[in-house]
Amino acid sequence: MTSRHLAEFGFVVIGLTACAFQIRAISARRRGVAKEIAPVTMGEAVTSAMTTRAGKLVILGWWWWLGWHFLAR
Amino acid sequence: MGPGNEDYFEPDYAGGEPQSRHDSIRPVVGAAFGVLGAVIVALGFAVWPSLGFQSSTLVLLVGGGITVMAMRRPLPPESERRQWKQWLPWLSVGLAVALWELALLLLGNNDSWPPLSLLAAPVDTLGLGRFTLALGWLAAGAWLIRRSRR
Repeated sequence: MTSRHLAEFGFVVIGLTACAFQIRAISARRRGVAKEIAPVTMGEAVTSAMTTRAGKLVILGWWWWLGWHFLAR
Repeated sequence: MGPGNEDYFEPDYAGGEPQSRHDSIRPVVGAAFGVLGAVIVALGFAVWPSLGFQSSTLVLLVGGGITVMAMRRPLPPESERRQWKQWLPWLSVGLAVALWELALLLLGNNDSWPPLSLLAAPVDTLGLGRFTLALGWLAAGAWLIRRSRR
């Protein structure tokens, strides 16, 4: 295993973890777990963060930076 | 204007049913123009390389426009706010990406220890890869606008 493989493996592990969190949240909703204690999907977490102006600015700023990082520089 | 007029609509219909034929068509027309605009912008990114004036200007203008649109929409209701324990897993995913990216930058930031931007380099070339990447970025922006008002 090369260092490059290790770097890629790190991102794959994080991606799979995110998928697991998403599946767990969807399955909890289908099982009827109460909204107040159920794990949330990524979309619900983002919406929760955007309930304040500061949170909204942070999320939008992060999205803007992604575009700048990958498409402009 | 009144209930007898076919163009009559309630001023605040968030989440309600459209009140006229025009109102039912408007979102479809708006979405069609949105998709067309996104394709045109993505085509711009597909032909203009990174580190150029055109691509930088496009990111600044489109990013600024979408940010202003999202900021002008009302905040999601308090009922959408969740306890910190519920969104902690997603915060940890974000932190993990940031820390792993930082570790790779410190370890080398080269082909042996490539951060996400270097791993994406084969996709981020002119043509279809860059077009898809730009379309994905714009779709994420549109998704954030929708999330701004639930």
